[in-house]
Amino acid sequence: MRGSRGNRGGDSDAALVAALGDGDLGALRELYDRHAPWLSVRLSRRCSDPDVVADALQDCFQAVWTQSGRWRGDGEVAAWLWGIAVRRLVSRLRGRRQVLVVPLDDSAAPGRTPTDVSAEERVLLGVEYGDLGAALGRLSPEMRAVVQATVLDGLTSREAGRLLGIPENTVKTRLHRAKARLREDLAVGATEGLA
Amino acid sequence: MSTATPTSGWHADPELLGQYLRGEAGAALGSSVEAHLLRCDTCRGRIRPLVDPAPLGDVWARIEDTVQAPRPGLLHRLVRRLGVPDHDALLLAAAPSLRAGWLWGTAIALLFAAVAAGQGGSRGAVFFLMVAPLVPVAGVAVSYGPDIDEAYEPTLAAPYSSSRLLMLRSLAILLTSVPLAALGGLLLPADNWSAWSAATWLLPAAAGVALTLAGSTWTTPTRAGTAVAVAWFVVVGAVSSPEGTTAAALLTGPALSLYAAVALAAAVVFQARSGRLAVMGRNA
Repeated sequence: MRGSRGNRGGDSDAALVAALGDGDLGALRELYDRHAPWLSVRLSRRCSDPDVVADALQDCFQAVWTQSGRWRGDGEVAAWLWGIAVRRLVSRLRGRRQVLVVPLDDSAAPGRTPTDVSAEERVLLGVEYGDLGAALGRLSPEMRAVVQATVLDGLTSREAGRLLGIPENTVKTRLHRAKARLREDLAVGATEGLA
Repeated sequence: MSTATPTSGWHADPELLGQYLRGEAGAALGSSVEAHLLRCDTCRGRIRPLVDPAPLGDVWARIEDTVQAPRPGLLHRLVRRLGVPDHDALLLAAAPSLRAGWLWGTAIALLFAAVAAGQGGSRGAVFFLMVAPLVPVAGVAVSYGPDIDEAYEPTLAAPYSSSRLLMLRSLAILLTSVPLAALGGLLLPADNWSAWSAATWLLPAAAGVALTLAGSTWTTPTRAGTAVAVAWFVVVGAVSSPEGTTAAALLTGPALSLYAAVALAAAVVFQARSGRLAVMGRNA
């Protein structure tokens, strides 16, 4: 299974992607072993149909195999893989009327605060102060799904619409409202915190 | 507090990863774990043993099968692009008469016929008239059958209608050879009847194709096509005078209706006997 080139355990992700261009199936296997588990979990949080998730995962690694030349060599291989995987998921869902989207977890764990929301995400949300986790938790599931698909997963409105099974314009409207709600909520939280 | 957390050196503990996996982490926390996983090899390694390996193994088996499968040919991919289902595209692409060698041969033969027609005056026109309708006939004749098709045995064993296969390939051949022959017709000198003949040869061609298809229910398409070609040469040769003028009679009113009638009758015969196609190879 590992191929004749021996153990690839020591190679970096980028080196593995580079080896794909030479038709090295062992490198694809190692990439799959490293990344398929977390990709499948993350995809399952967007779509509750395990068959569709499996198809998207398969499409993703097949695309990586044939188009490894598109890897520009900078940034994280993991982020590149996720970008491919989520778009494959979207195209697998295209044309399906019955889209089963997992609503984001409603049970915000008490006593925990986000420890690793990146600066980029905070800027995108227009959030400077306040308790982001709680504010996100107060959004309706529909709005949260839109925020997740567009802001956190980096999909376009059209792609997010396909993923969620709603029209593109609805995505835009909901995102607009969600951002307004968050700003409002966080501003109130910040003033209360000062008082 | 969250703003002060450094992004390096921090790792999700197994409890947090477990919550995330079960969908129990909150919206913000779940998204945070996801953002962290993109950058942290250690945590990706920690989540690996928590994921059920069976479905992942299945997916890998499918990936391995696909990437090791031979790459489909150019024609196969082109036809699939046009919206033809994959299995139909494969059968189409395997047709001998859709190979590049065949298409080049057709184009060159037609070019010579058209050039000869241009040089030879009215007699040349007869020559083109003889060749052009036979191009689609020959294409259909070599589209299917035990003596010509590499994929013949697999298709015979497959649960796939032979008449559907023959029709599919015939259609594709008409789409490729008719434009070539039409192009050749345009190269003819435009005297009083050959300009018209550039289009009217389509009717004898249709009759010939239909006769070949109908004949295929008795014998192989190759033999049926050969018989049609010989018959056509005899007819054209018989009605042509040395001046070539009477050959025009083959492409005027009464003859044209005859071709249409023959095409229709042959189509009916083919439809009625299409079940016989399946046993064609056995007595060939």
